[in-house]
Amino acid sequence: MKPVITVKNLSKTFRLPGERRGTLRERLMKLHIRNEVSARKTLDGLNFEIMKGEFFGIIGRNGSGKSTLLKILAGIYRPDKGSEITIHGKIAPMLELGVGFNPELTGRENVYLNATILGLTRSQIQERYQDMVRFAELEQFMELQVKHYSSGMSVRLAFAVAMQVDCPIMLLDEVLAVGDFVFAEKCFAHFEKCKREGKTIILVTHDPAAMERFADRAMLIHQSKLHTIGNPHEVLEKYKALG
Amino acid sequence: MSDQLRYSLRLFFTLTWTTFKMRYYGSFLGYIWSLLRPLALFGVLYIVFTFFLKQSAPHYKLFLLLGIILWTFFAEATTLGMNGFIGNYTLIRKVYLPRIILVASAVSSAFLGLFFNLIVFTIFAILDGIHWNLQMLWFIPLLLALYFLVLGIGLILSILVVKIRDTQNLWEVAVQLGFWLTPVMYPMSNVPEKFRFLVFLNPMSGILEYSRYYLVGIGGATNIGYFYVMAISVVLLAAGILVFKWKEGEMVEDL
Repeated sequence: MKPVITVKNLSKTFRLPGERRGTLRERLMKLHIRNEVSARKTLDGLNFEIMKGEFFGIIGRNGSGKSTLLKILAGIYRPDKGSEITIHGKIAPMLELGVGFNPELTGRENVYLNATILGLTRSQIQERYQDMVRFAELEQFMELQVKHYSSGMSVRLAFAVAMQVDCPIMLLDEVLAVGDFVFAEKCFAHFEKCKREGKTIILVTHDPAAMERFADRAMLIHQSKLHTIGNPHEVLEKYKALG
Repeated sequence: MSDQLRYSLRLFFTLTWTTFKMRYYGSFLGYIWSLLRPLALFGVLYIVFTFFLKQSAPHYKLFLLLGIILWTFFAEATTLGMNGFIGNYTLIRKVYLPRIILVASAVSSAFLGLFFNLIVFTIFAILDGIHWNLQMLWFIPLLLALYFLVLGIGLILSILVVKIRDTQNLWEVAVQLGFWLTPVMYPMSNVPEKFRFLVFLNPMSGILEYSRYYLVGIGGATNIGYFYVMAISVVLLAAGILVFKWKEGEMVEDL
C-alpha cells in the first residue's frame, strides 16, 4: 500500500499578541509599549502516514489540535518551517458543511455556488443536480431561499453537494453528527461506498462508536502531540484512559 | 490549461456573477438601482452646475456624467475589494481556495455594473449629438487601466483592513475627499497650473481626464501622460498582487 499523505515533523505555532490592537488609535496610543507576543504550539512534531484507501480516524479532546491539523492538511493554515507534508492527490475539505451557502440565494443557486467552490464544473453539476436534490429530500424546496430552510434542511442539502465531490482524499470534521438517524445512516452508507471505490477518508470525531465502526486505523492527539496511533479499538481505550 | 487554473477561473466567474446579483437581489427595481444611483447624483450636480453656477461648456452634461460614472465605479470597486477578504472569512477558514479570487471577483462585480452605466452614457451621448470617431477606441485601454488600478488598490486595502480596522473608515473619507480633489466635476484646465502636477499624481485624474478627452472631446491628452496613466495602473496592480501574496497566509490566521 502506498501512502497518500506523509507528514514529517509537523508543528504549528500560533503567535498570540498580548493584547489586541485592532484599531489605529490603540496602535498609536501604545506605540511606546512593546506588544508582547506569546507563542502557542498547537501541534508539536507530528509524524504519520495515511495509506491509500484507508479510513483514518483522528480523535482527541477539545483543543488538542485536531482541527488545526485538518486545516493544515487542507492548505488553509501554513505549517511551521521544518515541517514536511507530502500529499498525493486532490483533497476535498469538508471541515464544515455548506461553506459559502448564502441564505439570500435559493437552494438551487446555492448548490451551483457551493459545488463550484468544491471544484465541480458546471456540466458536472447539471448532470448530478437531480441526484443531489433527491438525496437531500428537498424536491419541493429548491426554488426557496435558504434562509427559509430549517437547519436540518440546509445541512442535508450541503451534504448532498459535498457527496458529489470526487476527490481521492476526503477530510471530514465532525460532519457525521448531523441530521436525523435515517439521514445519518445514508451518509455512512455513502462513506462506505467511497471507501470501496478506493478513496482515502480522514475523519475527525468525538464519537467513539463511529470511530470503532468505520476506522481502519486511528490516531489520538493529546496536548498537541501524537499520543497513540494504530488499531482503533486500542486507541479508543487509550483515549478513555486519559479521563 | 492546468486544472488549478481552470478551477480558479470557474470560481472567479461564478463568484463575480453571484456578488453582482446579490447586491440588488430581491429589491423591486433590481439592476436598475445600479443605474439609478449615479444618475441621481448626476441629476443633482447637473442642476446645480448649469442653473446655479451657469456652467455652459459644450457637452458639459456628458463630461459630468462620464466623470461621475467612472468615479462611482472607483469608489464602489475599491470598497468592495477592501472587504473581499474579511467579508468572506467563513469561507476562507473552511476551504482552501486562491483567496485573491475573492477580492478580484468583488472588484469585477462592480466592473459589470460599470458596463451597464456605460450603456446609459452611450444613450445620453447619442441624445446629445456627439461626434463619433475612431479616437474613441483609446478609451478601451483606459478602462483596462482603471480595472487594474482598482484591483491593485483593493488588494492592498483588503490586507490592510485585517490588521487595522480603521482602514474602512479612512478609505471612506479618502474617497469623499478624492471626489473633490480629482477632476470629476471640473476639467483639468480649471486647476491652477502649479497644482496640476500634484493632481496628476492621483492616477484617477489621468484616467478621468483622458477618458473625457477621447469620448467627449473636452480637455487634452499627451502621449507621455497616457503612458504614465497606463504604467502606474500596471505598477499598482503588481504591487497589490505582491502585497497580497506576501501577507495572505498570515492574514488567514489573523482573521
